[in-house]
Amino acid sequence: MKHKRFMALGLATLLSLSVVGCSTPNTTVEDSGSTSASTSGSTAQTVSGEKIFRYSNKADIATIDPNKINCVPDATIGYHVYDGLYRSVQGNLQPAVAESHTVSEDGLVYTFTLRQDAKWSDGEPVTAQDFEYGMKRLCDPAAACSMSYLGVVFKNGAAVTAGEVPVDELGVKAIDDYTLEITLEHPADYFLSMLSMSQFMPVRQDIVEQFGGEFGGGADKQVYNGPFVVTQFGEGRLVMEKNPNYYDADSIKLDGVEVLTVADGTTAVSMFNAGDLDLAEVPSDLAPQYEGQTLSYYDGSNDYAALNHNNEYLANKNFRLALNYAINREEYNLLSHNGLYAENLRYVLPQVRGVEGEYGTEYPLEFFPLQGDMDKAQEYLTVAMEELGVSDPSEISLKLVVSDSDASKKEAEVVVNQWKNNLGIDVQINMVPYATRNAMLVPNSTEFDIIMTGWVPDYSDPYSYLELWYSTSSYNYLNYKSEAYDSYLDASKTTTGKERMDNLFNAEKVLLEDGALVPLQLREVQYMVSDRVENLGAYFIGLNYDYMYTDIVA
Amino acid sequence: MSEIKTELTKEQFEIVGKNIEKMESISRPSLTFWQEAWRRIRSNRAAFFSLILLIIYVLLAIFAPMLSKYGFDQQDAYAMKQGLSLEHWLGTDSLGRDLWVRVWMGARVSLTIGLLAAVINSVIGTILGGFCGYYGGKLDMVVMRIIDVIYGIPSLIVCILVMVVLGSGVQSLIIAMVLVGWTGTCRFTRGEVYRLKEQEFVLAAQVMGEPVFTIILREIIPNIMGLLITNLTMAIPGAIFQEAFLSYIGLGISPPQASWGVLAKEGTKMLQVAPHILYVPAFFICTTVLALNQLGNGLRDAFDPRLRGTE
Amino acid sequence: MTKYILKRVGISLITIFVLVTVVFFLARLMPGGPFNDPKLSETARENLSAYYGFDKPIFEQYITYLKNILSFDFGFSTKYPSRTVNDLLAGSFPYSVDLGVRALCFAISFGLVFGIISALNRGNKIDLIFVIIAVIGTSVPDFIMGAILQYFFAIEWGLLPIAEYKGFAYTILPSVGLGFYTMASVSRIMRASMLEVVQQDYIKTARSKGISRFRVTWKHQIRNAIMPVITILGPTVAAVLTGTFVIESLFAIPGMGKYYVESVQNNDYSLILGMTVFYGTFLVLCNMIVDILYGIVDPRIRIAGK
Repeated sequence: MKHKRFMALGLATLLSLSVVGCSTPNTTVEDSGSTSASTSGSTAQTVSGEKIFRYSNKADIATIDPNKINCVPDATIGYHVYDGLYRSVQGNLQPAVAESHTVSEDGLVYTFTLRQDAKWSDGEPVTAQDFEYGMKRLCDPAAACSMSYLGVVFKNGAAVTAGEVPVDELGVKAIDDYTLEITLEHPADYFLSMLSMSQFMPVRQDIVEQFGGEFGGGADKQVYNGPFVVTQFGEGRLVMEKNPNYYDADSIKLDGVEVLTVADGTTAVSMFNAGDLDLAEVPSDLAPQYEGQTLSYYDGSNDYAALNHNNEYLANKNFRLALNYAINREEYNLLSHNGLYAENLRYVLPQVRGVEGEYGTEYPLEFFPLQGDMDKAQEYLTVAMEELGVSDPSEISLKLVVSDSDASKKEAEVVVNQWKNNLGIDVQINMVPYATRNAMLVPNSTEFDIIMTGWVPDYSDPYSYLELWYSTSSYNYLNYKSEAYDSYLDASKTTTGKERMDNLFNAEKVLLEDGALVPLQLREVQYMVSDRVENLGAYFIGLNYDYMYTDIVA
Repeated sequence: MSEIKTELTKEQFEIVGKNIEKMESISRPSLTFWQEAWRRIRSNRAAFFSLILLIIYVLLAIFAPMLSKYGFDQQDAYAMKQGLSLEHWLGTDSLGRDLWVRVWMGARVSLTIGLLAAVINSVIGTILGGFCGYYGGKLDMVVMRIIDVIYGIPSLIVCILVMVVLGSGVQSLIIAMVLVGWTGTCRFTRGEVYRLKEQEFVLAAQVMGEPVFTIILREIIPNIMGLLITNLTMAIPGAIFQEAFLSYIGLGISPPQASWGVLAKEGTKMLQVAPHILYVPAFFICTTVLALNQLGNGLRDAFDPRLRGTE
Repeated sequence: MTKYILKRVGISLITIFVLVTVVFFLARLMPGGPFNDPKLSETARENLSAYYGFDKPIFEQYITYLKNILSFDFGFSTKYPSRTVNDLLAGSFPYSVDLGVRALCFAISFGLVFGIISALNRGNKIDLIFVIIAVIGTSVPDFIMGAILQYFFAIEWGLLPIAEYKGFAYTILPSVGLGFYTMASVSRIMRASMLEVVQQDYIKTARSKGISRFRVTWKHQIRNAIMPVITILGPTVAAVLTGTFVIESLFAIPGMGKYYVESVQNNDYSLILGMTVFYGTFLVLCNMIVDILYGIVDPRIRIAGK
């Protein structure tokens, strides 16, 4: 099991700086709502053919409009029904609709030559104009795509999205039917890997104009050019069938895929056991029962208790360190997740890409002891209380905000209990709806002292985690201000290779030395796959399961 | 038998005169409404036993957490999901917390919410419903339309807004439930009053010039007390359930506090792993509601004016 | 009578209008707003607001919304960006209706029968059995009932399918789970009401006139006793048809209950309002029907109306 997991991770990390996928915290940082739990399997009565792969998501697929996809489960569908310029298959970048490309010397202009046998599911050829239209639509303010910030990589991308410059001036241009020229705002090595994301897929202008706002809102309100086509979308299920028009259809083994909405994780596991699904994510409550039968992958999120540095107590560095050392992360993990997640003793997910290999291997760090250090915590607390003029720890009262999912509720209870036992401080939990909690994640919020949250990276690089806490970042809800931290991040922008990575590592260390937040865990999704399924991949960025080349045997 | 004299003689009688008081007196002791009800409750074994059980639950809710050596939020990573034992009488939950203590802490929350929300709802609903049913016409129409609107507003919105304004907690939950909950009793009472107001005893009261308020309170309400009490005993679990549902979708009280609903909800996730985490709170919810029902039935009979003095 | 119905319809329309207005503004008070994903850039958020028209003054939005409602246009969902509210409701309502009707049929038929039998056998063993069933039904919250039904009948014993909704066998567990509480309530109210009615003078009169016991029970007792049940039916029908969130999520049924909860959790303004109009209209209709049923069932009202 473990081997498979690491293989999947390794493959995933091969995607250097891959900005793959549209991971929104909405779907992956929380166990509530829309996280995808997948289960698959069994013969489906609703799809013709024999090799049907069945799995489930916790929430309905929101849209199949490629530009508007904004969460991992939806991006997984997009990955399988659309075909972009390039495609990352099992972690390797492969030509897809683009046969080849050239890059100008300054690294700004990419010219793609498209294959001429690519067809839409309605028989029309896939042309450079379709790509141009799709990418312009992503940035068009009138189309209002939630992931439009990905388009800033294009020349004028940010300006177009902000409505300052007409869409026509975006750096994407079809030279002829099969030649596409893309101009970037600045050189970006990771640009090619972005092209595999759903948001950069070709889009047919005539179809968009035909359906208007409802484009991508139903199986027949869109055309497809990927290995599968959607034949049913809505009413709690999405059904895909193999696309006979796909140029590489011979390599596709599955006849179809059925994606069900099963909100209850326990139900999904039961359905897996009954053979109704081929793949099921196992809730951590149930995981011990299935020990040895599960695979797992990191979904990229690093959960932490964010501290609001505007609070009078939390502004004190020694107090923050006391909070950090008082957490026994091993016990925390055992209590809240049956020990199935990985304890996070640093800030950045170690599996992201470093200079050449994994960041965690190149820059190992166990900043906070696995079981905490109660003596150190007490020392820091004593100093902090002196500095704060507090005589008894119980005088310190803090408000911890947590969203309403079962998992985060449990996490909060464990953390608060450890602080109470180990430091004697009183932290009140305030449970709020998910949307309410999200609205608090802005700089200078006065709604929380501590808030349970996490981050899912957009691309495989420590910077994706670290950029949040730059003092002027619009994400800096910690209100963390550190000159040293800022200067390391600044330095990383002007350096490359190992030097750049050193800067990022130093920034991470500064963050931890300041105890800016309390890192807790790295999420490791446990899932089961039926024995008859072969060649299924799982990734931690951009999509969760890759079943493009999956086969069903027996 | 033989000693009985078959003949009556004048000597056997004496003239006592006219005593109006005695002529009108009732040989049975005169009891007030509540005394009578209490007497009848005591004679109804199921209801009496239920009352005792509820009192025991209330006492346990008050004292059990104080007397236990475990804190209700005291976690133990090495005693998770344990079954029933001498160490942990009702086992432990998924965080290794003692369920005996948690159940009684939960009882405090659930019983408070259930009782307060149901009683407040019933009082508001009964009074308003009484007037609506009695007067009918415009007042009735307006109140009924207001109720339609309240029914139509997603109660979740009301709950979320109350939580946001007042913070999550028992008071907010009760307020949110009352805001949307009085409507049920109101409609119900109104229907009943509507039905009764044409009856002779109401007419008689009207003829005798009793004020409207008295008619509703003294004549009509006692006549539907049975149904109201039955309704109330259902409203208490209803409120407990509603709290549980709100917890189910994440809107309940904040952890580490727990209600029976929260405990049961946590239990459903554990059904396949450690079923006692569900069965324990479910047992207490069930028995409490059962007791409330039996008590309700007993009260229904006890309060019924037509059954007074019979038996 | 026609005038009365017309008046009722007119009042109902006003009720719905007030409801829409209240919910429109209440929804806007909810913390967070519809685009609360912390990853969204400020620009994207502004573009989305403009796309949905949320950047306009709130009163203008309100007027626009009212105009759109008249043409049954509820706009696009913010959570499901390519789907209209109409589309979402049209897709999910049939499932909710199907499930709800099954649950109600189960609840009312069994509830009435149990209540009547129970009352006629007051105090003996049969009564006790039905009272216990009613007590269990009203003392177990739906999510526990659903979870236990599913666990034993589907998972442990494998008698019925675990989840999904595609055939009669699939509908049994969710219908029973959804209807059990209502069944128990109906049975309890019916029992209480029957006992109430049996002491009324008209029953004694009927009996003393020599009408058979069966006929008295059927024509007089049940008929009069059913009134309180009908009173609770209006709200219950609406609650059963829309309050299916727990059962839906447990049995993976794509009904409306999910949208009802989700729309509020996501601050999906258009969907909240769409649901409200839909649900509100439905409810007002239910209440109207209850009022009319009252007239048909209650002999006194019927005679008075003639």
